[in-house]
Amino acid sequence: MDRRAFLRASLGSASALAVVSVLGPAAFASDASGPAAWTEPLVFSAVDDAQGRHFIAAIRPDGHIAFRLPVPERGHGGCRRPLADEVVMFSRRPGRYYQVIDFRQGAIVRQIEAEKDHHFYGHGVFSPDGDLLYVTANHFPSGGGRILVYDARQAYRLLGNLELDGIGPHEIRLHPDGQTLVIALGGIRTHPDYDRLKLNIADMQPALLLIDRQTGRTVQRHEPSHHQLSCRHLDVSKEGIVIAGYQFEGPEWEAPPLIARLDSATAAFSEISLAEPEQAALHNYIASIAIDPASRLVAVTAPRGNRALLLDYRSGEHIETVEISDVAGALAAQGKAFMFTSGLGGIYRGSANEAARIEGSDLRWDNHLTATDLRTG
Amino acid sequence: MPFPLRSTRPITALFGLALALSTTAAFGQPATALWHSDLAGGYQALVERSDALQQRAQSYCAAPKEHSLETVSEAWEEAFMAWQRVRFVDFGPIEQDNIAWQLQFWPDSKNLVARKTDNWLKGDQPINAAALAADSVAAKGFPALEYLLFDPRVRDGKQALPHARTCELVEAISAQIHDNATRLHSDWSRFGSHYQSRAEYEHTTVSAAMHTLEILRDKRLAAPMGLGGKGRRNPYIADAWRSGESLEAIEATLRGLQTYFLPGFLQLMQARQMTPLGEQFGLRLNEALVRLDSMPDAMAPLLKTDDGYRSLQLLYIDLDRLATLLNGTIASELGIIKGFNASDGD
Repeated sequence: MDRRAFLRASLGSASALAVVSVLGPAAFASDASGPAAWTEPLVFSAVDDAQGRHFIAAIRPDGHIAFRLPVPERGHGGCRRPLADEVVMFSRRPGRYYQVIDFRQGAIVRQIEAEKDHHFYGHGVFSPDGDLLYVTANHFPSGGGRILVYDARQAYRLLGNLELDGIGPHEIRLHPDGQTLVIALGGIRTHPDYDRLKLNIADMQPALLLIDRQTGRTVQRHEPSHHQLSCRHLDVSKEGIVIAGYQFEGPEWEAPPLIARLDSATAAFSEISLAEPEQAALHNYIASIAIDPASRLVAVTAPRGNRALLLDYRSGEHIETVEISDVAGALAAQGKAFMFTSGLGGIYRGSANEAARIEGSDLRWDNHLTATDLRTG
Repeated sequence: MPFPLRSTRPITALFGLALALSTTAAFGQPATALWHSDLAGGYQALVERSDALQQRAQSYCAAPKEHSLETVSEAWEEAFMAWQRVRFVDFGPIEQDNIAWQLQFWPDSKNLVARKTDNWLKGDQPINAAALAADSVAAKGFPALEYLLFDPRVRDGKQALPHARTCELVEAISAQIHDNATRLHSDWSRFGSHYQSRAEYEHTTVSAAMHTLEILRDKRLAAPMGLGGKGRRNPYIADAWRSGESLEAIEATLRGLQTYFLPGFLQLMQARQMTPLGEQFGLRLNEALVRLDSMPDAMAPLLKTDDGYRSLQLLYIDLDRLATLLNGTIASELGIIKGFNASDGD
């Protein structure tokens, strides 16, 4: 059996996935009889292998890994560039790089290093025309949070930055008005000298921020009910409803609310408390938030609690709980279902009362999924 | 039984092990109840030793001619070892406000301890609890004190103790260590009902020991030995190298596991019908302690000779077997799985 035949023969077997994905990019690049480009929708995620090496992986809709690309640092979040075949993936806090990936070629076409005195937090978002990239960053000599603005038309040249009133901007998304950036401000100060050590736990000032992407003006600012509720991740619905997830830096024997809901049209901000023992079962830690644009559902993952919650994002009602160990990334899939990944390995498709594993390798998926198909991501 | 006993201390330890088995079997106390009361004792010892340190520092600085600096250094060592014995606990009150880091900033690859502590020595800003609390964790805790007490840069410099400003700093840092220890101890008791009411803390506590053994083997021993990485021997990346207590500190951490972790662990293993595996762990732990008992306190001299290096290799094998037993066989029997994002997400 030649190598290509072997690959074809093993595609159906989950245990062979690691082999396929290792050979993925190389096989694709050298295989003249293969597809000219990846034409199907893909989902991107940062991933580590069992040896601790870092990759960006592309997942096909059936859960198989299309290809994976080695990167120098552990990755975190990503974003699709509108009107272009590009996805940008960010290194994890305190990250020094982001990679621009041509998802049709399956290749990293550019790697941008953070400018002096800055590191990335692991998230970014594009303007609606795909021209400008907004990246959350730490100016570590001052500790001030910044949004660095890059021009994707000019080889991702740094244009400037928006200074934020606060520390630790983490996830950033674009409001459906195309003008407003929605930012989860974690409030936690870090410095590369101290790696990931949190330097200001006693006097954190986290917030959910809406800022104008052209002027940098703060349009709305909402603060969590406790100063140690670090606002880290969020998603925005087409109606402008923001669901944000917190990580609590206070005592583990307390169980404060961890999910915030903002109706940006009315500036009505509230927090969603779950009934006990469901609230305590989240272990004070939310990893990622994914709204399904085709339904009223939002998925909220809690890896320490080994569970994802599905909520009605309009009413805040808790609909169901999907139990997956070390559940990490979430993304709306078709048919009111969500795709979930696990840090212990595995990609799952979860809908009412079931989560079916659709990928079987031992790759350690990081917390976020980024779709090339903008309708689902 | 053919145990390689070479000193009296490990014999007591073995008695402790047998005692732990019999008493817990008799009372049928849950593992977390035992861990909670044992660790309360560990934190209490830290409070007492850090109180002694603070008082010795005060007495010495008030009348340096009547007290020797060694009384402070010895008190530092006793308090530091009390901390090493409870250092394996990485959950609960210790997680608040980075107390673990405030007590011991380590590893310190950029020598921030010396840099940040020098800033205090060379500056003229008032030294008080609030100012110190607001500064970097590198200028707090045991390593900063160790720098002031043991490092030739200070001891042979113009501001060597009992220089007034150095004394002020030693007193302020000692007081802060004592405050943190006191808070830790009282928070630990408040944490008790939460800790004992949730079954998942059984695995959390075992995971803390697992993580500690990995750090002991890989970071505190293998790294200075030059195993892996660049392969260069480097005593300065061990902890407590300034005081020459790197191996003594490893011994104290293992002793802490034997004193505060093992009894509750044996209880847990008994409840899960895995007593033999639990006892095997206790014996291997004891073997490593027996070896350490016959070794010097400092690591640096052993890195310079073939014989010395060989003794470190044997210790490495002990720690590796111990870690492999707990983190491999036992963890898998207990169903403990370490999450990727659950343990280190963002």
